[in-house]
Amino acid sequence: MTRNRSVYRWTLGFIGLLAILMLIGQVAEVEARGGRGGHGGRHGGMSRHSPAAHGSVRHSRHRGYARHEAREDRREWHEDRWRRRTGAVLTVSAFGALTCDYEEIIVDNIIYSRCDGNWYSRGNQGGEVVYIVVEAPAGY
Amino acid sequence: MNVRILGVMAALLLLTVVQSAHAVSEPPQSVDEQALAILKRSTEFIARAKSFSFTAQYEFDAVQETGEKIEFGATNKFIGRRPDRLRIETVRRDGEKREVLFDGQEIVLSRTEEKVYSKVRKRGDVGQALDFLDEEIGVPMPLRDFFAPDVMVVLTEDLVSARYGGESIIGDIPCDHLAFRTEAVDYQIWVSRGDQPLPQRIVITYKQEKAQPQFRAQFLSWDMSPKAPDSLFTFKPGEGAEQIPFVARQAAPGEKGGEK
Repeated sequence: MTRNRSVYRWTLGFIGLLAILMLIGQVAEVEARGGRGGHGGRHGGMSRHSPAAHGSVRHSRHRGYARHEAREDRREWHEDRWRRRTGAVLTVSAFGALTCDYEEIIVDNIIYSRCDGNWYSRGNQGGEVVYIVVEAPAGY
Repeated sequence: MNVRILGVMAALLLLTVVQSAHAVSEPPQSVDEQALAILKRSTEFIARAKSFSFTAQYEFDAVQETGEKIEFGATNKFIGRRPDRLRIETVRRDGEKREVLFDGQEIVLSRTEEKVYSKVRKRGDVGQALDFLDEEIGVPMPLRDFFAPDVMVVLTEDLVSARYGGESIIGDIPCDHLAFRTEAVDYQIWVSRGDQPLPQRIVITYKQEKAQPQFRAQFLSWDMSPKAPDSLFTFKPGEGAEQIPFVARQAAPGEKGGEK
């Protein structure tokens, strides 16, 4: 009888400990999700970025065209003078939030904006218009 | 008495463990030939059409960093002429408008209101142009699967199960309801019954992604013999329009890189 009670207490203790550990795990998960800061300046802080935006059943598994064709296209696209390889990219709203008296000049039908010593021109990234940091246009 | 309570608790614990193990391993499922046959008939019907036009109203979930799901959407008007002419006019719910034009030689993405356009050379057919724009340039091109040269391979690769759900009415159109599972996604298609087996609705669930976002589209006003003159697919920049480059997606270290 005493032995039974002792086993009962130990088991209850074990289950209690398990429940506490699970609770801690859940709290930690919630904190991890909320802890990271969001991106600013995107549709009121909401990001459109989503794998579901592509509306395709090919989810990083089936490429739509033959590899040799892809290689050929990619070569042409990488040599394209209209392709911009760049690092710094600002969304339209992030650019609008810059606090400077920027000036605009047009060179070869391209609009350049100068702000705090940086030159920007527009580009299209993933269908969105963005501002990219560029070299100063010739003569500036 | 105590032993009985202990027994019940142990059984509950065991049940929880068994249930969670069960949720991880999916039971093997079957492939319904009728569902596959309807899908094949529909894709072949679209592939045979020399020209086509339709409107798609679609929406998708974007899972935010907080885990919250936010829905975005747009209406796309497609008009195409095989093999290599395509025009897609998009109006997003936030009012942004854009056009994609393909004339067999180059793809133009134009934003008339902002007076900007971007171009990239691409030869090939309609499906190849859409795949290139999505996979290489990074511009999402929803519903391109239906125009892939190997559409049935695309739709049934890594197929886990195919099911036929019977009749289902979309809008006022009687459809066959089909449900498929692949390794990567679950998707459902509603195909209209009768001599024009066209998709009327599609729902894709990205089950491997966090919070399992969905893409949902309703197809409206299919026309398999629209007027599609060359002028529809040729780009003429408007007064003062600026050509801007497509920007590669990779961002420099420390940069957020904007939206994909």
